[in-house]
Amino acid sequence: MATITLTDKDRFLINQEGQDFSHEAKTFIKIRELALKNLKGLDFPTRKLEDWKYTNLREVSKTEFRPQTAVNIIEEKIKAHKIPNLDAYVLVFVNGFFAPKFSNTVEEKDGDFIVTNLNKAKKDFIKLVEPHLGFQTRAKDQFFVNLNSAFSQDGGFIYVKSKAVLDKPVHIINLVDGDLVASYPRNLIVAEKSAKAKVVVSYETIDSNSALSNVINEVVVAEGANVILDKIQNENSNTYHIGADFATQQKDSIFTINTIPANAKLIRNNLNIVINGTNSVANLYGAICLNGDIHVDNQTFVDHAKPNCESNELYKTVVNDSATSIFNGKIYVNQIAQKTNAFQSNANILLSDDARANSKPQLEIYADDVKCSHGCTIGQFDNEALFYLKSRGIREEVAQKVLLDAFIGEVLDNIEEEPVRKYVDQLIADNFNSKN
Amino acid sequence: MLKIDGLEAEIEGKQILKGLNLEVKPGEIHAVMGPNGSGKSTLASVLAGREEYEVTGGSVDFLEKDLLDLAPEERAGEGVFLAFQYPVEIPGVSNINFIKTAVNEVRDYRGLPAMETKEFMAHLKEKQKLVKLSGKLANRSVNEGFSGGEKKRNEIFQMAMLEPKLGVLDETDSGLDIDALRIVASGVNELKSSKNAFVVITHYQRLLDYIVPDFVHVLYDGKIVKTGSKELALELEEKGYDWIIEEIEGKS
Amino acid sequence: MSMSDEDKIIEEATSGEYKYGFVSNIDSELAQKGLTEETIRFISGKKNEPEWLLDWRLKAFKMWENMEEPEWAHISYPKPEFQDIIYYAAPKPKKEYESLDEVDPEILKTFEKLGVPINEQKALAGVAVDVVMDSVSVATTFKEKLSELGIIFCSFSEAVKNHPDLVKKYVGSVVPQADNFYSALNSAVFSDGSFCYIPKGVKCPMELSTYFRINEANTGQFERTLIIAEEGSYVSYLEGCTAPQRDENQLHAAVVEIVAMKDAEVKYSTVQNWYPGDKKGRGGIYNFVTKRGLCAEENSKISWTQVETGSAVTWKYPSCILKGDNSVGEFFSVAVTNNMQQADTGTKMIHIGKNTKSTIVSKGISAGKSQNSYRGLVKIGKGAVGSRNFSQCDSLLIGDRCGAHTFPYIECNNKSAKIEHEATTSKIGEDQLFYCNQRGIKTDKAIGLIVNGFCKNVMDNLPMEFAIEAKKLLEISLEGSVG
Repeated sequence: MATITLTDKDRFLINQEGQDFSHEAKTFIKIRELALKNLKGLDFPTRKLEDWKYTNLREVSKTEFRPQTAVNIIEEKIKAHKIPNLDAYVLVFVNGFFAPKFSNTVEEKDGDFIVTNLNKAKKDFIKLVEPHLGFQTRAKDQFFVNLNSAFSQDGGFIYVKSKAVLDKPVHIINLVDGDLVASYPRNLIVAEKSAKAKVVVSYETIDSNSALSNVINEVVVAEGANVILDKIQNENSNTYHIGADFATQQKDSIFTINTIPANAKLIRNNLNIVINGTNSVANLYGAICLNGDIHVDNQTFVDHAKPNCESNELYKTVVNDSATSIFNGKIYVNQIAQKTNAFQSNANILLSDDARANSKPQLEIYADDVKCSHGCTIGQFDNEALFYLKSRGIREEVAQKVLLDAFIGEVLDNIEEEPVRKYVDQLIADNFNSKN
Repeated sequence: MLKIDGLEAEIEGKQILKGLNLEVKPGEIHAVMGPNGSGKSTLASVLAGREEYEVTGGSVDFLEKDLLDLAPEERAGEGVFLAFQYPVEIPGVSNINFIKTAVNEVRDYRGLPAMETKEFMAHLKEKQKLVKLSGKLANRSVNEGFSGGEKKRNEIFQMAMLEPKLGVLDETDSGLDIDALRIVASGVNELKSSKNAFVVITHYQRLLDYIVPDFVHVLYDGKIVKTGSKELALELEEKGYDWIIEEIEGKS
Repeated sequence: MSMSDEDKIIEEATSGEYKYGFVSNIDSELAQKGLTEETIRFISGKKNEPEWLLDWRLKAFKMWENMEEPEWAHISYPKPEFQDIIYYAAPKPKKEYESLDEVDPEILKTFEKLGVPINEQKALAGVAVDVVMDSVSVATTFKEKLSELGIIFCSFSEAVKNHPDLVKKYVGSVVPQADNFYSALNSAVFSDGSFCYIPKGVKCPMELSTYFRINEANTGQFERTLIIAEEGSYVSYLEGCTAPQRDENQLHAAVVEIVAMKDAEVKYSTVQNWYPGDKKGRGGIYNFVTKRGLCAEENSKISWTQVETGSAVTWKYPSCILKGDNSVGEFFSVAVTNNMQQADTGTKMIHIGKNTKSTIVSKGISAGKSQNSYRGLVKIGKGAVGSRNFSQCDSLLIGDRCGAHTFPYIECNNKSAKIEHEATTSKIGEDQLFYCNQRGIKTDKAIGLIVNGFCKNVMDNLPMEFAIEAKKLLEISLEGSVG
């Protein structure tokens, strides 16, 4: 008799099973089936893979994370995770499941836009969801993308009609509550022709001793549309956060993403932008201020598939304590993407002896009439500047804070909503002050 | 020497020159003036063969050859020199290496042997004096880190080295102070002979105080609309272009 | 000028075919095809090597057998059939040469055609030439003058015979046998190469150079070079090569090791122009080289300068391990690819000692349908207090069917370190070309001029006469007709 040995992956996948998706339309079940099929041929990424060189997920593969619904969620607990003074449509998800009690949806069929949860949209707005859901995440080779595609419970659905403007930002709050939780929130944002949308997605913890957040944001930016996405990652230090963001742009469009990884045990972001129409602009900004022993790995990929487009990428990192930051950015310029202007910059400041920063800014260019550049620096705060401030009577800690604000402010200035900016400023200030 | 007949040219589908006529004989200096956007720089670019400009009509004869048929470097070989309004920087290529390459390429085109180093250096020193160009600039990269005045003097210096038959000066006076302007002008005056000719494109009259033209042409909306003597330039300086525009538009 | 005219010019300007393609007929003694323990014993036996070296080779072979060819580089090519390669070819040792007159006139003629000045003129120019032709040194000059200073400059085989202690001490000390697939292969089957030892306090008064060629069909080339610079010494070492035209791919997997002691400085310059294959990508050399220098002690300095125009496939990362405090590593590189060439090249700067400094300047030029990648690692170790790195990687594209890629890895584990990396990619300037044209300079010549300007701050680091050769190479590599 043959003995069957289960791998860590097999055991992990078994733990994710048992959710009932049979109520879904066939077209959506197909996405899950395809993902499950892909998972068969995949395994947890190891450091042998070029793109996982600096990030080790052994612990994740050996922990018995499971999807689970949260119980006894009270208003008070949710409130703490709202952004003060932000006038927004709020959608709340706990452990990946929709919490309608705390959310305000907009579902008028003839309205300019729809803000609801994805499960509802899969039923009521199937025509709007079907062309987009899972379209950008078909890649066979990404373990965690397929994992989310297979097991995602719910997420936000934002749809803005042609020429319409979302009158307020949408704030999607993803919370984790409980131990050994595996949470798979997945948002779909669709901006039709010349539409405009602002979305803030935050990830936070109510209470957990160990959790895995495996998240996806899919963004569709049609011709002339403008989408701004702020992503705030602020889970507790027991949480592994593995996320992927996908955006595809048509011509004359603008897409901006501000990524702010602040707290967790480990954060991995894979940002994939395909500029698939001429005269478009993609902006990628990252503000990364780390303390404790957090490990943050940001990977970005900008695919210039059409001519006359521009991408601006600026990631700034401050690493304290024994934290680690990894930046791995790639700009890919297709042969037909002439007149591409692509800029990529990664600046790092190390504040302590055990802090680490790795950077891999890459250019892969197949068109000749382009202007592409990248720059990367690693160092400390300018001693001259520090001295100058101190000579004016400013204490060292305060002086450092002033320089930190100036350094990271260049990135944060891209956050348009004042309350969001304040919220992020506070997160960064808390991180910076906690151990200094 | 140069006969432009009904020249029409466009860039990115936009017509700039709309039937321009101009005849230049050896020994003459022609000034082409006109308001912004009239097509002055387009004329210079088309004569030198800049490829972004498409010639859609008319002809340009230069010394009995169809100039429009020639590649830019062939035009240079035939003796057409354009002093650029914005001279281009070429990092890492020394000025001296650049001009030596150019001189010998042009000589090669004209069926002359390459210049011996000694002869070349003597020639170089003489021409540098002409525009008071510091010898130090010879080893610097072409136009890189040059001041505005140095760039323009470098253009005249290159013109002196290449000994063209027709020099086209595209707004050479822009961005020059009075000293630099004098140096540039005296350089041109030194080079002037009965065998060569110059077309001086300018927006202002002040250069013409130093380079005295035989003819002044007013370019407006892609055509030469008025031709006169050097006094016309003074009149333009005093009264601007509006009166001419009114005159033309009144006629039509 | 219309676009298609421009295309034509670029086509012409980028279609220069290899000028040094010819074969010389010299009797060669060949090893049996294929690679087994027997092959290694054969090579070692042929060279009358001591037992320890045979064991060293066999150990490397064992390691190699368990290794896989690396796949991570941005290159694609049919994998060499390692069992089809002849691992040893030597011109028949008729006798020991006393002077150049005794060398096979065919060989001398070949070198003359290549412009390798292995003659009196060269001697007067003050360059000692250690010629490696199909793996075995056939002539060495200036040995006496160098030996007066205590400098040892000889073939690797001779060093094994005459200076076994030095070889034993240092071989594999910088590039261990199992460092990578190709270094393991080289360690198992290396044929010959150069050995250079500069004693304490000696500044080598002349530039030492080797000219490598690959000449025997089906002969993999496995040179091994070892340079040791003792305390306070200095040497400038030149390596240059051209190879004859061949139809099938030839494998080249060399290893170069450099050790610099306290206050020593080694400058290693390479001009590489091996046969790149024809316009369709047929033939051409596979160049998989491991070059590494160890700044073993304080204030030592190792500087790599390379101009790479040849080979069908290049995989090469001359590196510096900056172990000694205050040691300095430099890498200056020009890599030109044309037609179907592929290059994945760069450097590694490993900062271990305090206040170590490294500089990287890389200029990549891609034309035709070629792919040109820079790949570099800057690593600052935990103890590398106050270390500095500056990197600049610029790429120039000529024509719209080529690719230019930049893959830098930057790893920093020390807060007092300062790293700056910048990279740009752009097209050859149309306005620059027009400016040259307007001054009477033809487009292909203008490209040569602009490219040489683009590479200037690398070329400036080459020894004078090498720089002239390199400049010419750049033009040949990119121009259709050199007048």
